[in-house]
Amino acid sequence: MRIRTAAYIFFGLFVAGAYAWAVLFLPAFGNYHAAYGEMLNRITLYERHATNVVTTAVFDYRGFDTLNEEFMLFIAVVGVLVLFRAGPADQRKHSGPEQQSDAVRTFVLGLVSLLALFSLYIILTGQLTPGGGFQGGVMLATAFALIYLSGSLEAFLRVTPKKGLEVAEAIGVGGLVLYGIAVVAMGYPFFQNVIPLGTTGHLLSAGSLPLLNVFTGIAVAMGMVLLMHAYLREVLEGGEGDE
Amino acid sequence: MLVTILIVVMLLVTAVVATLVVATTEPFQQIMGLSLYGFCLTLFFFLLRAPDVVLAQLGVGTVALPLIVLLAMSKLRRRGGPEKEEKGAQP
Amino acid sequence: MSGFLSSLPYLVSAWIFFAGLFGIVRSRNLLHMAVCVVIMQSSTYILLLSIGFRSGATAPIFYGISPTTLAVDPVVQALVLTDVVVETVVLALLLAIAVQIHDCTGELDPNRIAKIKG
Repeated sequence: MRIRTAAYIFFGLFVAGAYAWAVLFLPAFGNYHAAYGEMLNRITLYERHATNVVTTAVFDYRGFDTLNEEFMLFIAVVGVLVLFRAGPADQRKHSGPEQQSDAVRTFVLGLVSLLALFSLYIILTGQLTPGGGFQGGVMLATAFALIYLSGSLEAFLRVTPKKGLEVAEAIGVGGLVLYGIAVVAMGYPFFQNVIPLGTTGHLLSAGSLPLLNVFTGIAVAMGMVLLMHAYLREVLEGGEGDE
Repeated sequence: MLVTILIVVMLLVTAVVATLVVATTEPFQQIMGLSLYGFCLTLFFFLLRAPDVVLAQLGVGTVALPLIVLLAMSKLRRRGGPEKEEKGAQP
Repeated sequence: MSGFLSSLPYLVSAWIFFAGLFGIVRSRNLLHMAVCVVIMQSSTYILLLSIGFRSGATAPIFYGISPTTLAVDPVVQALVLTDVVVETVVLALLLAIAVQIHDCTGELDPNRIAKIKG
């Protein structure tokens, strides 16, 4: 313990010094002038017919980075599933959350449908207003979590069959990769935006952005629901077995 | 000018909350602190004009992260934790 | 802004980084350690977004405003955005490993796990 703290102080001072030296060369807060970001701000509207520069940077100009992030997400989800498959079954039977009153459950189920609808809206209008596949996917996963929190673990497990989740996750991640490969097969650079751009401000504008947003939304939402599923799997004494 | 003041206040609040979360050793209190910290970050990102990050952080920081830690905690309990954890739970 | 204020976000970012690292070093519980990793990681968000900020600029969303409006940097936001989401899943992986360690050794304290291994 003492050795670790000493090492922390020693190397921490070293890192802090290097960081302080690096900060000296950073622009003062609020005075940033970068050519790359400024260029994206100016050309996105004309080159890609999209109004949200961040989503365009994520899925178009830096699409390859996003593919890597997506793989990270996928590998982490697979890792959790593999780890929990190997473990022994839970020793105590889990009763699920407390059964809530009917009023609470009705209210929460109403919220679930609203939240699911709103997350679809966030995913689909990612190229126009703040939002996109990542944010909408997280919201969709929250909607599934609400079903569990409303007090019925059975309903959560019924809405989310494991096979279906796995297939959807594969479609989400595989769709992104397939789009990239299809573009290469057509003779363009990886992740080039080859779909017709459409009119700025329309739902299906900005070429490939809506498609990639939907794939990412599915991958993120299903990945997170799979995680919840993995943590709750052995909950129902035996559950669906190990096949 | 108002934005600058708000940013400074939010930065200080975020730093204090982060320190408190690290200093807390009681797991349940720490999870609640983590949720609060996620919300502080959300407000800070909002002040920095990053609406996309705000939407992501709102879902992740205030709901998803604490929920995952809570689920892990309950899984540990169910698998039979060490003695001191057993005492807290009802028989 | 004065010199101190213009570097305050960088200072806060460093403070949160070292607070999280301190928590990891002194942690007696793997759950606590995983939360500290999350705190430490979030310092990079503050650093990146603070670098990209421009005072008086608007968000990089040109929906219904003039395309020549001054906007903050979109690239750092794109970097932070993906990382915020992936962070959750990585935390889940860390916690799964913690649960697995607890299954194998019956311990959550890193120090005592080291002793069991000899």
